Amino acid sequence: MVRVMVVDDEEDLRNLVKMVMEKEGFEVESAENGKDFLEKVDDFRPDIVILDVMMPGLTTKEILEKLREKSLDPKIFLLTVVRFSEDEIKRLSEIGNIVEYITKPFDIPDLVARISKHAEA
Amino acid sequence: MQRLEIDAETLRINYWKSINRGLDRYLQDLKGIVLLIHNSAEIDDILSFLKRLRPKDELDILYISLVRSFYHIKLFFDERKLDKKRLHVLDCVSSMITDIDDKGIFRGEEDIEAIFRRPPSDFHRLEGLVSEGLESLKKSGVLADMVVVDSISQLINLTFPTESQLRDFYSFLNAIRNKLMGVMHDTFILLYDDKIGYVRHIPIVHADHIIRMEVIREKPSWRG
Repeated sequence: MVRVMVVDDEEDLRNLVKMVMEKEGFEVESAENGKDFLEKVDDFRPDIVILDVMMPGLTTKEILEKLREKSLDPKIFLLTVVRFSEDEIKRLSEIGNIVEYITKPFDIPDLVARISKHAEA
Repeated sequence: MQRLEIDAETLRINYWKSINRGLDRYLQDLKGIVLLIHNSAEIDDILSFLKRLRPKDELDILYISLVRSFYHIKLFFDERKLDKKRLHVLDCVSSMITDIDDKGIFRGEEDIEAIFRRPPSDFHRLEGLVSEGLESLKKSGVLADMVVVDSISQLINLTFPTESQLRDFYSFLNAIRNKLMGVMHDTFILLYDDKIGYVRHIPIVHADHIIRMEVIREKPSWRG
């Protein structure tokens, strides 16, 4: 079973994504911030991570660097309300395996379809 | 059994007036605290709006960005110069994904530059950032005429705000008026992106102008 981790400080969104993904047959774990994620990631070993960019505490770059230190390389979906330039995303992709960059608010069925596509690949 | 009926109670009525035809006349003297509510306007839409403000005046604008990185803004700015206006960006976004020194400063263009900071977690910190940005510009010999915050929706959801969020927001607006508004900084434009939900709480008492910008986008159905 494909393992997905949802990392977002918005509890409602986190729970909604978790519920929908579980219904689609994924094994899902959630975390409320970068620190929580890094504590859980060793045990859960996700194939895919849905990661909010703007969370209190660790920055996205710090989270990706620590993930690399752990020699983990899950596919990462970045969730964000903010806009970056392509160059900035490219630089971030050098640290982690970023496969998609999704802006909030997003359509849940669309997110599931995108994740399913990457899960099959 | 008697049926229990609960009627909805009218709490407030907001009146709106469309002034599209007279907009440029209205914008040429715009001053005070302005709340610009929009439905996910992109940076080029916002730059177009700023370009229409007081077009005859040379203005220095402190642009506090909570939702777009400086390099994202710069890409569009290069295509859409603001004529007589200079943009000083306080970027609170890039630090989330890149190694930008908190004291970092970007210079190199005549009419756009940036300093980088961590994002504010509440309105009190945003107020501090506004003061810091103005002070930083002052040190380099620039007196900002206008401050734009893009977007306060990062700090408050005007659909279902909590009481403490509303209290902080109103005291932020009061602080702007009492401490920061003056001869040099005469216009504060607060952008609010309502994509999350319908705006139920409009700060009509604390804002001098409330403008709603509706961006309509659709893919062309035919290409020649």
